[in-house]
Amino acid sequence: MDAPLKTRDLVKTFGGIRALDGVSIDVYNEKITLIIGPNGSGKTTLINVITGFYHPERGEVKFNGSNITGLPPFKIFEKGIVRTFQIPHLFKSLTVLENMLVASRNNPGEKLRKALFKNSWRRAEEHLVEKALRILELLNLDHLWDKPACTLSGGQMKLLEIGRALMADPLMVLMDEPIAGVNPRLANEIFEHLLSLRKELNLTFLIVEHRLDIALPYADYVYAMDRGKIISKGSPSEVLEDKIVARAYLGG
Amino acid sequence: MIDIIRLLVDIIAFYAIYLLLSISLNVEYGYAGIPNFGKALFFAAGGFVVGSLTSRLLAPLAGIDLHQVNFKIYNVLIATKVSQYLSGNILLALTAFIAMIILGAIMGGLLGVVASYPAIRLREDYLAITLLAAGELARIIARNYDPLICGTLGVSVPDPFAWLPGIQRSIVQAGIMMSIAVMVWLLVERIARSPFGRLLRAIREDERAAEVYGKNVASIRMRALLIGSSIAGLAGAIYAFYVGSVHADDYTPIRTFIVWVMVVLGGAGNNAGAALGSLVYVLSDRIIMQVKYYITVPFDINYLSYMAFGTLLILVLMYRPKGILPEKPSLTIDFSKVISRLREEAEASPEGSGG
Ligand SMILES: Nc1ncnc2c1ncn2[C@@H]1O[C@H](COP(=O)(O)OP(=O)(O)O)[C@@H](O)[C@H]1O
Ligand SMILES: [Mg+2]
Repeated sequence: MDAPLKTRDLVKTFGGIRALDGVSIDVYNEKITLIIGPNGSGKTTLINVITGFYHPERGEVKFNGSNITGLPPFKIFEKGIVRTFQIPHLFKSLTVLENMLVASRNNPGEKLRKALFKNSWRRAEEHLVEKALRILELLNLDHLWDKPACTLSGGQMKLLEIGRALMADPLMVLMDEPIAGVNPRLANEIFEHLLSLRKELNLTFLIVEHRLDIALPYADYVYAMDRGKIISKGSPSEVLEDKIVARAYLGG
Repeated sequence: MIDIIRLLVDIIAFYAIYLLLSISLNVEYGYAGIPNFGKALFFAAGGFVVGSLTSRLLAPLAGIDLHQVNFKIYNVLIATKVSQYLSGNILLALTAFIAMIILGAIMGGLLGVVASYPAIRLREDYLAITLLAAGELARIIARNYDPLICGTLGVSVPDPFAWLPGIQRSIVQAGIMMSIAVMVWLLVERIARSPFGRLLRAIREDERAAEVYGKNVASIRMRALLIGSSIAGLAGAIYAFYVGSVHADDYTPIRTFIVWVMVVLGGAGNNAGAALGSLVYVLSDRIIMQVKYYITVPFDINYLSYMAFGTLLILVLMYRPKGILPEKPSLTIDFSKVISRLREEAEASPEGSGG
């Protein structure tokens, strides 16, 4: 199988803690790859290392054949990788629509030297509004387009994070606990959305989740982490039946 | 008797200066969230450019050989001579005025980049402290390094409006100052209502999310500081021409704080707010300056303005924490119009087959 994103032997320590202790994963094209593991096992750290927020002490991150280890986050974005955060990081006082618009790629009016000349960006801006509206409709957020993001409910914030990610035309989306703190019905809805998006837009997902029960059925491939290490990998059922995984979850 | 015209001219001139300063801080703090506590530095940059260069550059034209005279001792005389010379050459006078304020803006912008460079990537509070320190550093250097603006004595600035008689001169000067300020306000408002302005606000709200979406936060912040500092430099140059002299001690941190109060009072992130905040300050300050001769208070009367403004700030923060005119979404284009048009189009082709 084709794996556009590969990590090899990543090590990241915080003081004495080895948050990542030799992590190698492959994220397969147009699949949903899931990383599970108990709290503190290093899942968020892995996403932070891949997206350039942390520098690993050792190891390599490769995307479509090129080495992207240690690039700053905004360069990682240019490669086509977008991430979401465990706690939504919305532009709080900006409206839902503005949040979407900021996420778009190559908006000419964001260049200072073009900003003064409305004619140079008006068209692009209108197109982006149209695109944003389509995505918001998909996520049932379109009626909220002019509300400040901070007035949304927790679930709507999660959806907006997803919408914002889609706005950027990514090749790959990394999501840190997209359903944390969301009720099971909405959680399933979110995953249904992701499934259909994957099909429609040929997206690749790497999803970190703590709650296996809901996430597992949607996954194509699963890695289980514990204390900075990959302790198991395979299809959802393989990983679920792995005794080491059960032990890690029950705390051993 | 209060000379009403003089008072009015004075209010307009000072309003122009403070309007420039408050929109400059509004770009940095209101939109981009950069706590620039070094506003006085960039204001001073413009003033120092005008103070140190105008006389020196024009003296040879006025027939003064700078090698023959001690600039520090005779700077007032030199400035007077240059003014006289300019009064006979309107074109040169105006060219000098415009060239010097542009130079002031460039110097302000340059300093903005240099002073913030070490700290632009650090946390905001470090940047704030760095800028505050840089401002004091510049003032202390200017105070003690005589060749710049004649140290503690200060330097006289030639008058580029000397060709006009009496009050007319002040009216024209204040009018030009106000026109410049309004033009800059309009430019900044245009920037604020562009995707770039929205980007500044997004970075202010969540720097990490902005990075995720490919924004080079450090370099965009730098641009905001460049805009803000150039405007402050411009204000400093205009101010120096208006008051006719440049003294290092005129650029203390208190000036920075006054501008902060204007922006917070008027409404950060709203250019109309910055305009209102500075208007409230200038009006109350200038009026208190006038009435203070007629009233007695049991403390130093010069503090009355600060006290009044401080009280006002506390009241506004208590009852309108986002300022008198709070921030609004910046409508780059008419979103409602575009969206209702899109929805109508979708209605018209029900199956959504278009596209
Ligand atoms: N910025 C940090 N500073 C210090 N320790 C950290 C930091 N980030 C994560 N850690 C530590 O690294 C380990 C893994 O954390 P994390 O990646 O957040 O786990 P998970 O997302 O799986 O819950 C934990 O022990 C955590 O305390
Ligand atoms: Mg986590």
